[in-house]
Amino acid sequence: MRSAIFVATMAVLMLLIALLVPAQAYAANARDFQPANIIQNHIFFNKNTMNAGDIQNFLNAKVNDCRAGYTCLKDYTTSFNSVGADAYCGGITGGTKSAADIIFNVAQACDINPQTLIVLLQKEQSLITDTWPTPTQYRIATGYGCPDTADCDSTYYGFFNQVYNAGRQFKRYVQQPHLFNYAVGRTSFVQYSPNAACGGTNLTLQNGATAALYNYTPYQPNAAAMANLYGLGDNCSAYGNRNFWRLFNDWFGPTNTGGYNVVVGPDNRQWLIFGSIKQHIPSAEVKRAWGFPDAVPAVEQFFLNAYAEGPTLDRLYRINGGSVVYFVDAGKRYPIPSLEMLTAWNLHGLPITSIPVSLAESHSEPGFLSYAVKNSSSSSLYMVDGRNGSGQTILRQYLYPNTFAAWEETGRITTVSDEYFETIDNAIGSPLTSTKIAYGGSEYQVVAGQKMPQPAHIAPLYPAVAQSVSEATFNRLRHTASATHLVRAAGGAEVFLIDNGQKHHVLSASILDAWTAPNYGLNIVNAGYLELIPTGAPITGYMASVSGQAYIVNRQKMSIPAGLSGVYANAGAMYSATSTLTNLFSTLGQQATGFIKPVIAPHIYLLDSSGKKRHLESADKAALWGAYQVGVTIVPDGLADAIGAAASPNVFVSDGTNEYVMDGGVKVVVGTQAKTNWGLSTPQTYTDGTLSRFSSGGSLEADSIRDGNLYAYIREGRAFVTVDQNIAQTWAIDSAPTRTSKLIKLLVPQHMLTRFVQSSAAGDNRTFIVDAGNWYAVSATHRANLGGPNEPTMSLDPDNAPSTITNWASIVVKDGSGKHYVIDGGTKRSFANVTIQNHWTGNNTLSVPTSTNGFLNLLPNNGTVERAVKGGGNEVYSAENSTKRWILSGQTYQQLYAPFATVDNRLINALPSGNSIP
Amino acid sequence: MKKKNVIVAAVFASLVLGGVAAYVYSQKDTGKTKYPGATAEERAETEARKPQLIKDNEAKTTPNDRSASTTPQTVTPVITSAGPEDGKVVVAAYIPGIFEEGGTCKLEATKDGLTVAATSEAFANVSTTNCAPFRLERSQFASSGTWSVRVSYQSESATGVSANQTLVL
Repeated sequence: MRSAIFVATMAVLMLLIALLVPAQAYAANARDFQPANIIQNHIFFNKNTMNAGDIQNFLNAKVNDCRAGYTCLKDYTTSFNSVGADAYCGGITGGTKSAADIIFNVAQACDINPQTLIVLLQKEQSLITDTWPTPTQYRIATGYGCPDTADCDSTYYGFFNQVYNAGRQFKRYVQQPHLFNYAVGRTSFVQYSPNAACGGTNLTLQNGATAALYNYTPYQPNAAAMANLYGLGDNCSAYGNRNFWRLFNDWFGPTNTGGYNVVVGPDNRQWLIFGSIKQHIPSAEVKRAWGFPDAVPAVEQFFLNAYAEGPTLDRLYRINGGSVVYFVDAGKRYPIPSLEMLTAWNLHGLPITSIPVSLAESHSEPGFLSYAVKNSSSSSLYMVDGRNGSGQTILRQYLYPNTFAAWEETGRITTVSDEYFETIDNAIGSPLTSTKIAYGGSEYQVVAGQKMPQPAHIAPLYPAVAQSVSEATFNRLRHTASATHLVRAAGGAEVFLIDNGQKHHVLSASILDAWTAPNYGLNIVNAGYLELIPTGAPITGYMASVSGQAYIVNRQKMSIPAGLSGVYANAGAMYSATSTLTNLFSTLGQQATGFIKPVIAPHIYLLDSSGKKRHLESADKAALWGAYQVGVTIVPDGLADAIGAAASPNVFVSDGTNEYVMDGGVKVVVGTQAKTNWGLSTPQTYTDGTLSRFSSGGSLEADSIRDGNLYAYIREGRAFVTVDQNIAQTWAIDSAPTRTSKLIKLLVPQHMLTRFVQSSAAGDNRTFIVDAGNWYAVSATHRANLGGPNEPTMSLDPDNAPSTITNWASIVVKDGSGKHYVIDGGTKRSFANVTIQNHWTGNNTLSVPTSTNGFLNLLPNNGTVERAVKGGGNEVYSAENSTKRWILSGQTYQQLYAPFATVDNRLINALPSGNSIP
Repeated sequence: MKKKNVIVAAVFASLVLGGVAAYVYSQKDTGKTKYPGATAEERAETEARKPQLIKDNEAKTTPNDRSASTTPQTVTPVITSAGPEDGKVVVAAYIPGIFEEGGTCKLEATKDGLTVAATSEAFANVSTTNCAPFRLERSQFASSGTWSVRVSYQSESATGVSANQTLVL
């Protein structure tokens, strides 16, 4: 049951569709009527619009119910004799035929649109819609031979006669236009009515079809007729041409589709006609390119003569003289975006026709013309490359999809007809395989419609051998920045370095920064361009090697000496580059050393031979390792960061065999005594050969060193230092070997070196004074007289004294030149004369030690001394033979000892007492 | 219930058959295009025109005594154009109201007492008689300016002269 409903419903729908769908949905509008251009040639003369069946259908449709007793046109048949072919129409075989067949036969024989004839029959005798036509209507069906105010000529009676002669006459009008009054381009006065008093206007007829209509019926509708399109006007109205136009529009669509016509002249030459211009269509190929129909109406030479001849039609046009030039192919038009495009297509110099909008609108517009072209029946894609010396278009195949993608700015492809393609594929050049081109002795990289100059020193980076291109292609590629070694696809994140014909992914921004050479920026390319370049190993580091020479790359390049290349190779990635690449980087004057420093962080590292970085924590340590002497190599932060870290270097090191301290980048051998005195225990051992990079020189001083005005006495793992040369002299180290004090700072604790030493030995409370390296035990009174009790005193085991320790008992000392002094409470007094000196020395019998200048210098001069001295008390003493004898008698004093010198009580205390002097 | 089912089935069956038949019928012609019928407006116009059409047809197809007449009828040629064309001077004219072969058209152009004359053959053209357009050499006209032209027609059955028209050279 349901299926029955479905079938029935479908059947009803089919019925409705069959009955209701109209073929035309267009109606005439009076404002569209152009009296000088009623209908266009290509419509009027298009014999292919309807076959006999269509015509019959049409006639059937127009008369639904033919009145009884009448024969309507749809059912009308008539007999006629054959007519032979003549200058205007082909022959028609006679017989008994239907009206539809006759209309069709005449249309075909005389190259007339059957619709023209149908409309003519209606216009003249209403035969299409009449439901009760009379025999007379058939007899003079087209009004042929019927003057307005006189009898019809019976010669032309009969339906076939009427249709045939009308069709033939229409053909004659365009074939022999010189015989008739109304002609294309001629300005004629066309009356509104047979009554000349009704007036008319001058019309310059636009085409042969319109001229034919006026030659057939020499009146135009007046305003009244046009104002009432489906009815009557006034007494001056004529309706023939109005009705022809109206009926044609209503029944078959617009009669004016754009103001152009395609016609064939008597010499079989075909023409495009619009406005007052005719243009020769030189070939069937061009005709198809413009999308014109194969069959076009024939016209007489006069018809053609009325038009000025424009350039021979080719494939280029402008619309109404506009600035955009179009290329036309297979009925499609392609705007040409530039003169360069025109030239690349080898279209430059071809005539450019200015055409009306209506003609242009008959062309679809798939998009701009592109440099990429293919034909519709092949997938091979070519580039238009201008013309060769023979004027042929050069085509170059984009060998790979990526070649196309790389070369062109857009993915636009112009698909031309096979027919056109065959005219341009006669000069196929070598296929395009890469983006490297040559022109005029220079090379370029092509990308996205641009050309990047590729200087000779860049070219070897890129793969492939440059391919020659034409001037047209060269010129159409827009000039842009020079090719460099760095590329990135627009919109892409990955940057690649081009070297050795490969692309190498640059892994980080900091690596990219290092590999960016001044004046060689980053080229923005496209994905296809990148795809064409084979992929090589990524760039993961900051170093390159070329033919065994290694470099650190950081916008410039720094040579790594051969002796360190292994070290650096252990430290980080070493990209094996071509010299072409490394030559882009200027070479720094200095070479890399074994010490590195990042650009930003202030850290200096020793790069050990294992490729590890070891932090030199202080400038002193860096100096001891010799970093400043050989120079510190500034490396990219990224490189420094990437190097693995090991323990900071020590100053006391071992290569597994010998022990050294580092001093200014020199290995200094550490002997047993030195090791003991410096208190060195376990060295930092390098087994990777790091130390072999350093020269060795000398041995570490075991006893003392001097560094400028600093003197150090090394004992017990300590350094006793002074900047007082006098102290140094007392210790006899004022001539110690020079050695950097940085070693002291880094290796041992420092103490003050003093002239007094307090014993550090257990249970030993002695104090010593040191002079010329000798130690003297001093009593409290002597120490006081020497000025010592409040002086800083170093502490040291007396075992370190170089020789036997004796007691200090001297009041009088002398210098190297024999000049004598009395030590007086931390000062020294000289003798004013020999008598006094003899007095103090028992006439030189006293043992007087010779002191160093340093020792003496530490005792400030305090004037001279007399034979007699007086301390803070009232007693005056005679200092006889370095004793003190109290002079009891003032008279004795005055007679024998005066004057006295006032001295420090400490001297008084230090002088042994002798017998008093009465 | 059964009766009702039978009726419904019969109605659908007839609809199916009718629809299919109509569709098949509509497809029988060799032509592919379907056309709409005459509109009410077209039918009305056809009917409105019909009385005058019959009257005119009757008049035009009933033989009269024109051919027997001994005095030529008077016609008035119409000049449709007069002017330079392709280096020549072309004048076109037709004679309305007659449809015949064998007549002669004559052109007279006058200016300042000078006359340029030419003749051409006339021939039948659908509903009129056409003068083959006159083509005169420009050199036949002695001076530029406005000439006055007229075309006369002469045949066994008709004769007449057009109104004067201007010819600007």
